[in-house]
Amino acid sequence: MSKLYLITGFLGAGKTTFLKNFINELSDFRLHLIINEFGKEGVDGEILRELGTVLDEINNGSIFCSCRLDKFEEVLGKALSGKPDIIIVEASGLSNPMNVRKILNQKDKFSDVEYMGSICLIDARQFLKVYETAVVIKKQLAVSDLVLINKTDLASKEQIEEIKGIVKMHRPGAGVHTTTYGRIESSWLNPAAPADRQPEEPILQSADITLKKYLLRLKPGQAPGKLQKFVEMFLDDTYRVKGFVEADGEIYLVDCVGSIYKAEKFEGKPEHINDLVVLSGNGLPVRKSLRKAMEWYPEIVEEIKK
Amino acid sequence: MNQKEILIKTLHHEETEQVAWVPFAGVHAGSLLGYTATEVLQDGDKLFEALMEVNKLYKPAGQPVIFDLQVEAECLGCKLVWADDAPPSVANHPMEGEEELETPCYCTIPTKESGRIPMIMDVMRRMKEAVGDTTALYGLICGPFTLATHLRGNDIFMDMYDDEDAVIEFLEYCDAIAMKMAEYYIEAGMDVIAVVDPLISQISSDHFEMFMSAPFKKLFDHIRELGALSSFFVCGDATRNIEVMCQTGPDSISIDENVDLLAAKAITDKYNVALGGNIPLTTIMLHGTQQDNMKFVIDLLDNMPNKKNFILAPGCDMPYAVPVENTIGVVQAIHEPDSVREILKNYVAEDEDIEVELPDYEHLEKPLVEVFTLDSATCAACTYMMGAANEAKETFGDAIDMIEYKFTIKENIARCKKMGVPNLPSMYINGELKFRSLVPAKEELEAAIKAVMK
Repeated sequence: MSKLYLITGFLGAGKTTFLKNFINELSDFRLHLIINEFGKEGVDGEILRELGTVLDEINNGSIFCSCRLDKFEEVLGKALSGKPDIIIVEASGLSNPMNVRKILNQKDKFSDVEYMGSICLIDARQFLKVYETAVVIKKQLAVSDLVLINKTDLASKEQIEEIKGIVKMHRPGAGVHTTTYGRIESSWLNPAAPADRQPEEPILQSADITLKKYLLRLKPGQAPGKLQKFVEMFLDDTYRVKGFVEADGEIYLVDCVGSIYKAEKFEGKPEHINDLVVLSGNGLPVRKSLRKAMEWYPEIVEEIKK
Repeated sequence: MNQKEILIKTLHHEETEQVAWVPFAGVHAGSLLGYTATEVLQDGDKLFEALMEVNKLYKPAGQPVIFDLQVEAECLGCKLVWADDAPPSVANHPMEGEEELETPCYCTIPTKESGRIPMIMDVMRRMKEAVGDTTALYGLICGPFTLATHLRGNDIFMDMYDDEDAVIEFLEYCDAIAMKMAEYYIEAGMDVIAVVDPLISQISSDHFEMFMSAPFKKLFDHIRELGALSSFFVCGDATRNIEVMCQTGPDSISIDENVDLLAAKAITDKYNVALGGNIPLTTIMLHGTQQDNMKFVIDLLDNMPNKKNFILAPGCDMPYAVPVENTIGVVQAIHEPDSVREILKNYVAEDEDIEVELPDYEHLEKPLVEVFTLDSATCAACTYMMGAANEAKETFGDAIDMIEYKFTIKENIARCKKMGVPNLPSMYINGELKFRSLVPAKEELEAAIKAVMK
């Protein structure tokens, strides 16, 4: 029997950093990771590959969406055949995991899995802003068993209290902890044990049509300073901007959450370079600001795709 | 020949010995068994039971399985407000207020697992099994334009002026959804796919040709390729669009009392498209007597020179509380026209004398916006006309007065008669008819109000 943890959290909540810590906590076990990203170009997979754990990637859509569900079931089936002690599934930040129990309860397909619950990461700094606009956050909270309010060093006490209130409203039974840098303590996992389950009510599946995704193919040889200026012109209108960029002969991981630009040197050799994924939604006028940024810096983007 | 065969023949444009009758009993089906609208639209067992009751009482040649234009919108994140005696209405438009209209990802198109679709397909299969041999079953899908309006709100009317290309792209997306829904419902056994797009009455035929002709044609072709028959349902005054609707190639068109049926039939006959309609929903079916209903049917049939390509039907989704005897009067008239003619011989339509007092339009303190609707809670066209009025009320606040008169209330029927309201929905400003059927754009309505401000 393999135990399965589901990791959820909105874009930029710190799931990947958390995963690194979580994997360290579980170093005595045989692990299998399943990583899901909304974009075509997996970035998290590249970052996690260095940990040496068995890893499958499912990109280009949420694993809980019917368009990728078959792929998820296939990958999970294969993972189970390797009989790992623990399977960790990292859902894309835009996924609506309301049907996770229904999927895992298909005993004919997944008899060897014990669902341990869902761990939901929250970015304390961004949460109150994105909570209003992104529908999936409420759904991720609704199925969570353990909620980690992350990045609390970047938020005020009042903000954190408000977040706790909202979490409690959506998921009264879940364990709630505050943390920084995605740290987890093994004792926190106990409340995530399958004792406290929300009722198996039929849940209507719906899609969020307000989500927007663009892929910017950048011209090679960017100047880091100019790239930052360019991204900052539309950053406020996004949830997340992410990708590997080659600049000055180095590879950078551009990884921005909310309005803060971040680019760090990356030592690995990612498969996709110079592709920047831009994720936004609900009313944020990203198309307009993106267009403006491209007018100001026409030398940066080679092609824009939806 | 059973009733279903009569309808199928009609839809194949063949001569029949009797006129086919299709009662659009949506929420009304629930009333037959004391179930609320919400119950029959959410609970598959109750829906099935209610539909079987319709089948028994109203002896239909065809019947819809569910009449709810909000199914698709719900799958796409619109919140619904539920009512006991009407289909739900859309409470929010996820894409409203966004500066630019941007087509969502096609990955959001509903699947067989989305929203209430599993329940609906299950009831369709059960109905097919139970009455599928004798009754043609209609699967109703939300038309692309009404769906676009559900998702984008009133902004879509501005978009049609400001950003034609974006509207065309967005309607393609809505059309793709409609095509998928048709596939699901045909798979579940539906004989006829009815594309219900009430808002078509709200646009000009120029706009129809610019935006709607292509997606509707594609949709009807698709339904035909899948081996099913099709119908194009519209409500409101779609007179000017009947011809362009025919050109999109549906097997049939269905209209309500706002369109002159005999005049419309002259056009549909030209295109060899069957025409369904148009028993008035409120004046006759809801508030009329049994004799009124019989008389309407008999008069209609007697005045129709050629009954080929004709389907008798209510104008649209029957009101919840239509008295059973009224529909039964219709059934009687269609099955037993000669005996019903006899009953009606000395019949004179009741004319209720209700006194209404009209405002003193000459001496109003501030502009008065009066919206006459069938019912803004149930009629999509009325909802959006009312939406425009509400938006103006928000803009002008206490500087204007605004009121809705629903045709479901007898007193308002009298008011409509006294005012001479030509059709619904209509908007009057200071007693003058300003907008008839067409939903005004925000600027247009504001200008009309400002023009009468003192």
